[in-house]
Amino acid sequence: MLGKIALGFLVTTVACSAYVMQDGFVHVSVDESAKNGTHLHLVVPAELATIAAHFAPPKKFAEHQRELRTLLPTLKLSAQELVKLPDSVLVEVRDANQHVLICKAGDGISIEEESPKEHVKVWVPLHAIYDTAAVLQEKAEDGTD
Amino acid sequence: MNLRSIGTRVGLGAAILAGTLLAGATFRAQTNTSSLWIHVRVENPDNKDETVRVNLPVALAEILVSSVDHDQLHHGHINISHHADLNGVDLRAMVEAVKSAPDGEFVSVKSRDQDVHVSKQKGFLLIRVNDSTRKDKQEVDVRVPMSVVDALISSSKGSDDLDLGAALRALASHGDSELVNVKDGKETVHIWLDSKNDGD
Repeated sequence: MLGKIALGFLVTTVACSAYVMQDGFVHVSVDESAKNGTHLHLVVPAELATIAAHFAPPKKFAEHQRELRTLLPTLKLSAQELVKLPDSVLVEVRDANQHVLICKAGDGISIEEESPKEHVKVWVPLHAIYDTAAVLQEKAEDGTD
Repeated sequence: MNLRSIGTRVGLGAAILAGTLLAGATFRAQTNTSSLWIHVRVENPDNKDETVRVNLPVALAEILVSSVDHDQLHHGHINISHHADLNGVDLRAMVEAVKSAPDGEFVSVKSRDQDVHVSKQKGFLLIRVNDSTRKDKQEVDVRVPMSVVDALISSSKGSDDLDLGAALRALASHGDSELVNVKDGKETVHIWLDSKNDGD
């Protein structure tokens, strides 16, 4: 009996993990140069963003309807287009104090900012951007009915 | 051996070969236009710490330009009515006149410190400006295919509206192109189109 429960628990855990991991992970890393500065390194399942989008309050969509109507389809189309590209530097801005780099890296987009104060790096899977934008767009359209 | 059947076979073989070559050429043409990248470089040879590099596929640039609805840019159309310099100028009529004119120089303004030339050569609109009125001498070289200039105004919504989306589509079908070269003092701005994703 206990074996069956354990097996059920294991199967459920594996299924949930597989579902959560299907879109990969969002990587966030923040390193402040100050003596007691923050050093934050997060690896979050990207599926969480899509799940969170389902719970976004409809009132907020009504407030920003015009912007979202343009932004969300653009995000979806851009993610679809970016995923086809080879790894590339898309934008690089460098001056004496700051270096900003936006790249297509693997199946995701990487945004990096380096300055004497801090080094921030974020990598987001493109599938997660597409899925989250799709959910938000669906919700925004439901709100207009 | 049946000669008729040999002729039929040769004909069939030739048709298959022609079809394959045609399909290959079409596929190659499609690949070329869809994989073009726009590159922008802002550099200063004296200061390697200050650079801007932008590499965007034309397809993505078109999506972005067509989606933005902000300020003067509305879904691929840009409004230039706020440019006081263009007051009273009918851009559409001007482009039509340039299109139908033979190759040659249309505008040449020379003054002590400024030199402006606008001409048409082999399907390109060329604009050259040399300005030494500023502290740092400025040289601007713009080279735009006439098909792109035409696309800018062909589906515009009025005399002060330019169709940037259509221009990008026209640019993509044109292939590798040098578009803009600016030398402002020691700083250079270079905008061009090719099939490389890094532009180097």
